[in-house]
Amino acid sequence: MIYRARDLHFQYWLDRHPVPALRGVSLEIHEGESLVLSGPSGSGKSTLLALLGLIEPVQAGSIRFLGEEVAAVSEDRRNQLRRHEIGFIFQSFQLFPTLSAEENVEYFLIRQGVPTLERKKRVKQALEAVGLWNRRQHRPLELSGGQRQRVAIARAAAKRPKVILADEPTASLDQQTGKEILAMLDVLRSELKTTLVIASHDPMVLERAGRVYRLADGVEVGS
Amino acid sequence: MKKFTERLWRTAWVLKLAARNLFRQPRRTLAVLLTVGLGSASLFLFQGFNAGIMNQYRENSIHARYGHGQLHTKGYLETVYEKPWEHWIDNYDQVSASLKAMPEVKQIFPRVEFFALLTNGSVNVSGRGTGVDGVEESTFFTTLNVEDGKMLSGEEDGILLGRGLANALNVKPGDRVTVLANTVNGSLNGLDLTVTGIFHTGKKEFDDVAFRIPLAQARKLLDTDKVESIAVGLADDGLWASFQQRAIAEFPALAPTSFALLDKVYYQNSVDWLKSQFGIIRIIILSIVVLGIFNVVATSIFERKMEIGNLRANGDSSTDVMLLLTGEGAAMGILGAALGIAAAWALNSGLLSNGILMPPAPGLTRQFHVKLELDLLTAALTFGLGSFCCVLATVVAAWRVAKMGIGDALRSV
Repeated sequence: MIYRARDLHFQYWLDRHPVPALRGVSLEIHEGESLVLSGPSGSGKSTLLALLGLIEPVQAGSIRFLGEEVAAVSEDRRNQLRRHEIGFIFQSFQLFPTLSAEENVEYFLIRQGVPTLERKKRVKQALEAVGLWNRRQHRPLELSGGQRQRVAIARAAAKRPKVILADEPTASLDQQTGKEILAMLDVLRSELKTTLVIASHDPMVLERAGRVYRLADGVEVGS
Repeated sequence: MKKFTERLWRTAWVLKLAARNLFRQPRRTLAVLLTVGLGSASLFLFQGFNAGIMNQYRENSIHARYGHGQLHTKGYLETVYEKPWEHWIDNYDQVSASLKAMPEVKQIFPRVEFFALLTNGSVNVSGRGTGVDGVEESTFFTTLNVEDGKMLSGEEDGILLGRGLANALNVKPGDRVTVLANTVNGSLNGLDLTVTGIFHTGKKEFDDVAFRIPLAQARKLLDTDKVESIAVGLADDGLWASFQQRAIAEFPALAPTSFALLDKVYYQNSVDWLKSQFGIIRIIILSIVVLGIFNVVATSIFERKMEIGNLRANGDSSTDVMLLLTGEGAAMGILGAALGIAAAWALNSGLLSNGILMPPAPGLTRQFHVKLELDLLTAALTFGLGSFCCVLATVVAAWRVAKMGIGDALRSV
């Protein structure tokens, strides 16, 4: 099992007023699974994804990731888990504008401490898998939205993470490009035997999901 | 070893990213560079202006009256004597020969001061005279305002009168004046002299009584071969300490006193007062520069919260983020400060090469040009300060961003 979340509560603070985002959410995610967290805007899916990605602190409840209780691990260990075991894909791509596509993919591998030869191999494989090897020298601004998202996918995949977390990966793309991106994610998941968790309310994403976890107002409303 | 190499490699990549980030937002980088550059240039120029003003005060004081310092017999300056001439320097020829042989000494100016009665035949006015070596003094004491005629120079029977005295006697250059004074033996003596020029110092009470005559005539008038004091002009302003040491060793009966002590009220007090004033202005400028740098640097870092959130989400620690941003801040600080100092130096060598025209300072009657005294030490200090401020501003802003929640950073717009 990759994740086991129990009775998660989470609230944001707006002008000193608490705004609940999750209210007693429990969830299990298994290795190799393709799960979509679905729900309308404000349902808590992105918050849940952030908690699974260890980028928000556990306020109440518990999350076990790869057998470790997230709330109990040190900051260093959390950094290490994010660096090695989790790949992120964001709606707004979040590429480094000053680095080429190849360097964007390579950057986090260097941060992982992957040896040079292995790193170069992984970068090539990842960019070939998303069909951008021939554009490896291009910087993000020289690429289309779809191409940027493909670089982001290559970057997440090259890390060889246990889980890829994608937050609205198709929201900034047209339908055709969105379909291509989703197909790519499916291929990568099966090739890398990684787990894929997507937060989205895009029907196209839901159609391809292995499992859908539905949220509304911070509570589970069905799987 | 492997771990160290790996860490080095990771750091190199962070710095590579930092270096590229500088070119990513040219306007933002330019804004930081300009702020640091202008701040450093302002501080550098202001410091140069301060040094220039102080130097100008020093030069004015030295070249107005006192030289770099004066020799008197020991205790003469501190004591009022009934017969002061008994305490004057009595072996002048020997002293002057020794002084001229000293490596620090460029010129010497023997003087005697005395009270006298001046008359044009119909009007009698009392005055205070100084016997001077006109030839030597005319080349060194260049700040005296001669409003009519010329300085006392080689004329054997010349007299230079203060404005008030000349008005009282109703004389002009070329007219004859008789000077009457008591000799050191108490008898009355007189000289017939020709007015060479009329001067003013801006101090009415001084101009109303002061006059100058050749030293030889003064000694004849007073019937003495002594001199009251010997002012010295040194080859360089920085040689006073060395000269003082040598003079004390060579002339045990004499006491050398620097111009700063002789002219304490005008020079030293002015300099001390200006230093305090400039110190306050420097703090204000520094505060504005530091706040400006903090503002621009902090804004440029806060604009990048999402990127920093991405780095943190992918496992970079807050220390890694700090290193990245501090690397960028250091590069911009170093470049901005260097550019600012280079620009200030260029401005001073070009547009400000003649200095800045200033109105007459306290105690002076003329406008004067202040040259900005820029030196390598000040350049190095200003460079260090400019760079340090930029790095400090980066560290403070980066600390706030690096420590914020990753989710908050990613949600930033």
